[in-house]
Amino acid sequence: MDLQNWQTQLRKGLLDLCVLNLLSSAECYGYDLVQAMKRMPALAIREGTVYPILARLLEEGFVSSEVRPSDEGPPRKYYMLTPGGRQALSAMNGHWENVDNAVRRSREDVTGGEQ
Amino acid sequence: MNTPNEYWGDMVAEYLGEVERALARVNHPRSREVLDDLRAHLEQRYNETRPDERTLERLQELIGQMEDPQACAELLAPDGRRRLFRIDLKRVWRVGRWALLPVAALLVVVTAVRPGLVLWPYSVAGSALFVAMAAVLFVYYRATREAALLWLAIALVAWPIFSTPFHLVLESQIDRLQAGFEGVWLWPFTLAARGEIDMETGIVVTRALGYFIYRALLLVAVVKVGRALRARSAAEPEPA
Repeated sequence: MDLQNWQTQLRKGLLDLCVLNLLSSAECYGYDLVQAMKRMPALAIREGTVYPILARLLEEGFVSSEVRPSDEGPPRKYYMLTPGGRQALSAMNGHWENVDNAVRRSREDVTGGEQ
Repeated sequence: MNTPNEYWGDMVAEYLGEVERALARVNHPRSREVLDDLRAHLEQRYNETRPDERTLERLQELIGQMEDPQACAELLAPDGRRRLFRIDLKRVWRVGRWALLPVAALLVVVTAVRPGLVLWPYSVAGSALFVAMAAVLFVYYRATREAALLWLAIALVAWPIFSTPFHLVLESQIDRLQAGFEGVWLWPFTLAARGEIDMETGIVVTRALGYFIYRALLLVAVVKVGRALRARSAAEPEPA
């Protein structure tokens, strides 16, 4: 099995969930979101990774955006969750918990068998 | 000799150009937004770098830290390449409904002022087709900024509509010719009025001119679309 490819696919699948989770606590502008995600090394994101994801989530109606003036430079585009996005996030988090539990249980079963 | 700061604009343009080419292959309606966001992000990164640290190596490092263009396209459209001319009916209606209003208002006014006058010779179905074509081409132009779509719009929508007054004048000139050459001023009917050519030749020449312009515009549009499709196909990565 190509471990690197598996990690890449897993990471890609989880990026949407992480972006939505970050936006659920506070509205952010793109640059802040990049900095927040860079603090999570497991996601291995690069500068600019979030923008195509945000654009797709905007198109799907899960997030909305608003351009606001900034004291520190040009206007900034802020992103926030829509009610639909909040609903989708809740379902995604629920599904992720189920997957996480299933993986934990599969590992515990193996460990139990060995004891 | 250029300073590193002078190279920055070129470096950004080169990176964004690569991203634009990668995004063109997935044809997502928000591609332009992604490019604008990436540009704004790079500007902010540049402004945060202290002026004395803006060496060529540092600026190259900033570009090197950006997401790979191909990955940007995959993150934007994970389901792969979208069809170039996929019709999104919701989007067509959203844009097209604004065009319907002025067209309907114009028809009402014209009919009220001059009931017998046919300023708009197209049927309701024909008019709806123009509106639909204009809306589809507008939506796809906005998403792709592909100049070939503008040429298609000129050939398929603008020329047939804007040449309508010309055809009306033509018909009136033909009527005048048939009624005895009074008030004929349009070339080549003036030649017919002077007896230098016969009336039939004048009619054939003017009609042929209209057809020629329409077909020439259509030919240019088809060539432009063909070139655009070939460029997109050349930019596709080779299959492994």
